[in-house]
Amino acid sequence: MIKKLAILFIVLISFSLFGCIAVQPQGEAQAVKIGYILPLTGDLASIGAELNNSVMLATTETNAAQAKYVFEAVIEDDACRPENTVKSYDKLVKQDGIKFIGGPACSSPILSIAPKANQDNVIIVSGSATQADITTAGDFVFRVVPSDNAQGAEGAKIANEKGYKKAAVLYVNNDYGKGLSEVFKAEFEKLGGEVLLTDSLEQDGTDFRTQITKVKGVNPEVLYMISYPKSGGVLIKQVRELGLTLPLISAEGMKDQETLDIAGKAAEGLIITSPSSNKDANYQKFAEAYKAKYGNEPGIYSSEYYDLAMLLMKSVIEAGPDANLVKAGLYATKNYGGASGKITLDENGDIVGKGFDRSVVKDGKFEAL
Amino acid sequence: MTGDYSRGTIFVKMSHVLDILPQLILNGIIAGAIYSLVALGLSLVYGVLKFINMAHGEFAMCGAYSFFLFYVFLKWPFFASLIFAIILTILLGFLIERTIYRPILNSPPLIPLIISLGVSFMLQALAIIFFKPDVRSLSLTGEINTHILFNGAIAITNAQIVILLIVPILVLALFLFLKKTKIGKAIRATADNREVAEVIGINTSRIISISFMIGSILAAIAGIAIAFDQNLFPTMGLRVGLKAFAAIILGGIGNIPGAIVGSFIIGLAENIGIGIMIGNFSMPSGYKETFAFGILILILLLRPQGICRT
Repeated sequence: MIKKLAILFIVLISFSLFGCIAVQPQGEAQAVKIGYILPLTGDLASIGAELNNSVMLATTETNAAQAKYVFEAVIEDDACRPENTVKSYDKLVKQDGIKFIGGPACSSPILSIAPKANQDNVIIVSGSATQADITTAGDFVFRVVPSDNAQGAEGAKIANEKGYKKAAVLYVNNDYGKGLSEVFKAEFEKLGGEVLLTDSLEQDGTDFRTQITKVKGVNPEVLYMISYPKSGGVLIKQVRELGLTLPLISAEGMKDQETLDIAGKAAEGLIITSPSSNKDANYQKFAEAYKAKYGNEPGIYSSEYYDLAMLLMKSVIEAGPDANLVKAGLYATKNYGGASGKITLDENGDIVGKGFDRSVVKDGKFEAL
Repeated sequence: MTGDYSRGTIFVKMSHVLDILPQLILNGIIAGAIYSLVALGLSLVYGVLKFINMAHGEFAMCGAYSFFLFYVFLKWPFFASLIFAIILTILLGFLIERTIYRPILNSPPLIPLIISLGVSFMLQALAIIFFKPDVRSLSLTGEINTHILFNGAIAITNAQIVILLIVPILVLALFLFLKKTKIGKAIRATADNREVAEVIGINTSRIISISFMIGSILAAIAGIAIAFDQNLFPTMGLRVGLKAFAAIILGGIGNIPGAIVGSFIIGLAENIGIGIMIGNFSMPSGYKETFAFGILILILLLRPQGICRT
């Protein structure tokens, strides 16, 4: 008798449980994966960590704000090296079936996967790849950061305004460095200056003394340096160690606290250009959320990556997870109020109306100039 | 490029080279000194264990990170940090030698080589896990401490002066140790012929462990010296290890003086090769290693056994 009651009890419980599940509104949320290729190791590891935080913040916020889609961020590390980027791309597209990729952060990497992305109908949106050729890298390639054509011109303008006529250029040996050094040289010469020497630096390098000695040999008035935080910090330190006191101008690739930590007092007075920063309400909202979650202020490009992640997810929500529809949606982006500023994309997938700001290093911190 | 290339102008522009030549040579000597610090330990270990420990560069890296742990993280005084960093590296070396290298010591030479490659990757990964991939600096103040000498002709930092002093001291110390002490003689005997050494009563097992420990000490000192000059990061052992390896081949494998000679040749070739400037022309610095290894290949073609006789 007890046994029969027990069996009846179990059956009743099972039915009610089943009923619960059946009655519960079946979640319509569709899972969509968005890939991100970021430099989590290597020369830009410190910047990469913040980009990671930014895209995760965007993903969490977007998932919490709507129930139609559940976005999953799949992060791959390319260490800012094209050979790794290709592998990351293959893994995301072929293995995970992803159609939307945020990043890569660097220029050579994005140029290396652009042909594949255009062929595979995979959308790539970078928040930090600045090389000029990316403008024409294809239909599926977008960026929310301005081109180095503007940045090199800004650097040349700074040197010219300060009255320098003779410059030397040291650039990291990849598309970004080479491209920017060529723009700087062209612009500086247009303004009446002369570039006495251009020489390359190894990415992830640690000993630049001979390049610096060569610079010493031609005796310029100013040094334009293009590099990344790790090697850039060492470069600045070695410039001062070798007894060179000339002024230093650099580009956004080095704009990170790590550069200052490594270079120490040698970085005092360094002038650096970076994409014009945004301070409006959208940025404040993002910065507060970032600080609340991660404990520190966002760094360079954090707001750009937050924006591109939000843009990608917003386009998917509006148009559905179809690459061609999302592509059309991205091209139609006009005056999107992002954390990094107003975003309008032109017919090449480039951002419109954004320039470069200047900062100077004072007392171990970046300050607006 | 504009500019006339009349004879006068070329002579004026040649003076660029003379101005910077002293610094280029110094750069080359410092680079050579750094490579020889690593090559010294590597050569000793090869002599006794008869295989190239591809993880030697990583042992140097471990020595540097251990020092970082004590000196910067725990804020211990300098010499205490130094001693304990060396002790930690010795323990690590002992562990790896006993558990990984010892069992395969008598295998065909390719096997220990490949396994040591694996050890090197493993150590790099461990460093990334424990210390993150960020660059670390050993400098506590961020001050620039450089000395400008000879009217601006050359500049050298404290770290570099120390490196230049350490090399002859270590070489001399090692030389005296191997020549004068009983253990040193036992090491030389084991390196010469292990079977015969065993027969005449030398505990070759103990000697092998001791040699490896000495190698670890040398690696740790090398790593710490390099870290003072060039900062710490998990892959710092790779490039230096590779150049030290090349230096040993260049100098004659198994030959300790040869390792030093080879290191300086590579260091000087790298820096002077790309530094020589005619006017504003010079070999782009991207060809640094091309130049150095090109010379390596040339020398080996002419003299395959290396520069110094074994």
